[in-house]
Amino acid sequence: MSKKTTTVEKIDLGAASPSRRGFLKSGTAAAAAIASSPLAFAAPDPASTAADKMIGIQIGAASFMDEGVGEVLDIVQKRGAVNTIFISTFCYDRGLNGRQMPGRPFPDHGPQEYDEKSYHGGNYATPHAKFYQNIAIKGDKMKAPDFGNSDILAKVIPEAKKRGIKVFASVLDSFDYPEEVRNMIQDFVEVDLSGKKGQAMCFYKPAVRDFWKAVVTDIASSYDIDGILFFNERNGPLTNTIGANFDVGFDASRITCFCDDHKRAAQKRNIDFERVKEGYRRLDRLVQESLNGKRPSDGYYVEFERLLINYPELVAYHQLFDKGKHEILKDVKDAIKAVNKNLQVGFHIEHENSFNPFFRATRNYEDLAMRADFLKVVAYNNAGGERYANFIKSIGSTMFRDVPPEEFMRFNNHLLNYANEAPLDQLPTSGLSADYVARETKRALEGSKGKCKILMGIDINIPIKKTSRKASPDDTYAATMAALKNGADGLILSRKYSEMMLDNLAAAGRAIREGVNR
Amino acid sequence: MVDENFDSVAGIQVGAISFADEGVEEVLEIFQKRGAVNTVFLTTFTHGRGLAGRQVPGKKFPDHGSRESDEKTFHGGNYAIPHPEFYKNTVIKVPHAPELGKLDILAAVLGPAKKRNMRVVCCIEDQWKIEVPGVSECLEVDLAGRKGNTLCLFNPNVREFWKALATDTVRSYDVDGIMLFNERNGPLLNALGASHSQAIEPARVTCFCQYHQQEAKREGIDVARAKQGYSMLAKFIQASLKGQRPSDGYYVEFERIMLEYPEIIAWDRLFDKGKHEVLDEVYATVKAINKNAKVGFHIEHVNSFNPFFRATRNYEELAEKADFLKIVVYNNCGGERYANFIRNVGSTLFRDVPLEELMRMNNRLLNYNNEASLSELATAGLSSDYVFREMQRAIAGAKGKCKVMAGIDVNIPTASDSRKASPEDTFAATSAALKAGSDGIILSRKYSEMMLGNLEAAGRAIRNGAKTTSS
Repeated sequence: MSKKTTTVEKIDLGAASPSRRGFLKSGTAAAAAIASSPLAFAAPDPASTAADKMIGIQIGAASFMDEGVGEVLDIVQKRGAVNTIFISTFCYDRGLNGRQMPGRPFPDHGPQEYDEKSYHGGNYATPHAKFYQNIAIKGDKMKAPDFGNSDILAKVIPEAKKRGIKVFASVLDSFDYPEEVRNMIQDFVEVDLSGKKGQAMCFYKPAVRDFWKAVVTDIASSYDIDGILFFNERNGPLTNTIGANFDVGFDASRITCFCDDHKRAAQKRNIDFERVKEGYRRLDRLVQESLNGKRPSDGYYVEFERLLINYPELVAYHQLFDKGKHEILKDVKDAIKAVNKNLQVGFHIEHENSFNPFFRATRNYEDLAMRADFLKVVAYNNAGGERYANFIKSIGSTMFRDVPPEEFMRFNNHLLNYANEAPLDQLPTSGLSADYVARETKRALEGSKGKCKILMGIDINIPIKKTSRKASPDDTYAATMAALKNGADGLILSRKYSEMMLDNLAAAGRAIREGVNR
Repeated sequence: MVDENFDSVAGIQVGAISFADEGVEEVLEIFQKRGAVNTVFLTTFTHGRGLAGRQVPGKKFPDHGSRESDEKTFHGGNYAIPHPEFYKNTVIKVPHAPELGKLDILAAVLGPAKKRNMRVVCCIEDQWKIEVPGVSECLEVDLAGRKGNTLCLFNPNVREFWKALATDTVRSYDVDGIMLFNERNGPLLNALGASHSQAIEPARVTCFCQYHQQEAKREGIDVARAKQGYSMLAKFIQASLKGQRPSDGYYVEFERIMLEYPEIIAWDRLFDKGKHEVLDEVYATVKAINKNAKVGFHIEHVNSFNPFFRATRNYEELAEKADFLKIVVYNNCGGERYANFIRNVGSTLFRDVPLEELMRMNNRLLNYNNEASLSELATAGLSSDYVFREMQRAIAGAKGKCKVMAGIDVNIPTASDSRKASPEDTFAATSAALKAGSDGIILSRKYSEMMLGNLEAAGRAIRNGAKTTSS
């Protein structure tokens, strides 16, 4: 992997000019730009770095490898006003790792070549065998091969420390894994309703619990990091079955998990496993019929509600999934704190939590806040437009099929306290507003009751469809400012640097400098 | 279970007082001639004014019968003669209703009705007065441990009473059947005020008496958790009524309590279980005495308005318990009732949603079409299209497993500024029910509320419907 450095023309710090369109089209052009204006930034104003606000950015190893560690750190510090980096350390998901998503336009930095052929995922630091020797899932065999023997934490930590930047390792529990990893974990993956093995690992397998503890213990013990941010965006069987998500579709194979360990966990809690299976089969059938427009005589919603009432096991089993997920969060936190109690532990709270009232009801901020030092609350407003529209269309094709989607969205907006967002047909091209970010920030702060820090996840050029809105720097400025104005304890610029346009990053930086000095 | 001999029921609900006030023959003559009625649904047991007594006090009298309110004399009870030997196994000893002296309404009406080829079905309703002997021993207990004013459906004395009453009525009189009324809601709907006519008093939800608790334990429901859940729910409701918005919104907070305490729904289901067991027992009791006697159940109005309630009432399952179901499709008073329901739930769990939008959303879920806006609903009433859709839904749901009859609103009292149905309105509603394929019509709630012009309009629609069917 060739190491390329890139930078941008000299800009006025904080001037996120929406008119700036001169992003560099290729690595060659970037190199030329470096020559003419190498890192010609003004020094950061010490007054503009708020000691009490964590201003983070998510970055995958590829960006450091492509653009150079020092260069990337300088850019994120000077343009993005960042004081903390969240390095995707253990991750098999392109949302946090790799270059730009294949097929999406490249940002104005880094190589203009997709890495789909070389991207793999795994542990981008160095996994140490001693942490895995007594457990069944051999994390030491999960070194990401993308950059040979490079250890991203070893590379970045010293440079970051030099600049006074804190380093957090991001660790993600994936939806799926590459084939050779699947072979390694095949005894520990979920089982779907029809008995087929799935892709993700079951939370109730003791080996899986051990594995996550080992991964974070390894990272926390082996590197001088400031903390770990743990990601798990997986949903439970109920929301997966009815399509109450923004991007999963209706795939019966996502109705999991029915493995023996999950079954035992259910039995331990007096949940009737056979009734669970029967309930989910009926629910799946109702979903399929609804998708085909076969309206029950009492209406779609009533029929769904009836099934949920007649099979309380449906909700109980869904909650069992959440319980497993939350037990892993606890394991992760305890393991990290056992290594060093000063390390900060945070959890990513997925976008679903914004759109879906039922999901919201399953996520009590106060309860989550007691499990973590900080929560990263996703408030991606630009991508939020098409994602929210997808959610409405998805659940509007099953449970709420009797309601015109536009009316259903208005109703949902009221439940969620969204105000003045675009109508459904314009939502992808409008995105959600900065007001959405403001409201979600306030909600998270009020809900967590000061029991942990609330860091808002800010959308910086998260890829969306061609026809959907592309956030301008002004949009990014407004969203960032909305989070800060409403009291966010910090920010995490998301999803990953290799997706971000530098003007948008600079716009966030300007908002941060203005916001923290308010 | 479908009995072909119970075809084309054109019924009317009537309380004893109408016969006492206006004369048996005179009333039957009006029913037959003006209302095209062939079945009398005679209220023989209740303590409530919805099915018995003259016009509800304060409401305008119809154009027949006494024009003097009976509010000082109305009592309720058994309007036939109760025979003590049937009530040996229960502490509840309901006397003959005292307001009409020794009049045995069944003895008085059965003969003349049979002469006219009219069927007589007895209406018995779960409505009580606390001074009835034995009732105080069977009262429900609320969340705070106070006695309520309704009877626990798991109290063995209560269960015995309903069987005894059904036995007494069917053994002692040559009736064509029994229709059981029980409009009581479970604790969840009561806590939320998710109905059309009740105050929202979440701390008064029932029942937590020893019998109810015993049944809960048998069903594996954690009683302490259920109480705790209802206490949390009560706190939420009271705060919502004061506009104290949770940071996640009213609905999310409500849903969270429901997720955290599945015992709340389980306890509500337990109430329904008790209610349905009484239906089963009444059915079995009647059939054991006379398998040709018909047993029907009144399906209350909240079944129209409330999607959650709808979800708890599966027509096919109900149809398997009965010979007929009377589906309440009261469209005229439905306007103000539906508006009340929307305002009730809109003041708690849906308080974040403007009421007009909440109603539009609910209309979609319920398959209501082109009804008036919320602000005009009480003065507009619900349409005859509502009657048509609800009857179609019931017929499709019951899948031919019992007769499905439409309960038609004939001048059911409404607030002074709410809609008063014209004869044309009544004609349209009755015709809509028949057009939807109803197996019968039951003119409701009671004759002592009905204007003769409206009764006649219903009769015209019934005769038209019969012609359409025979042609």
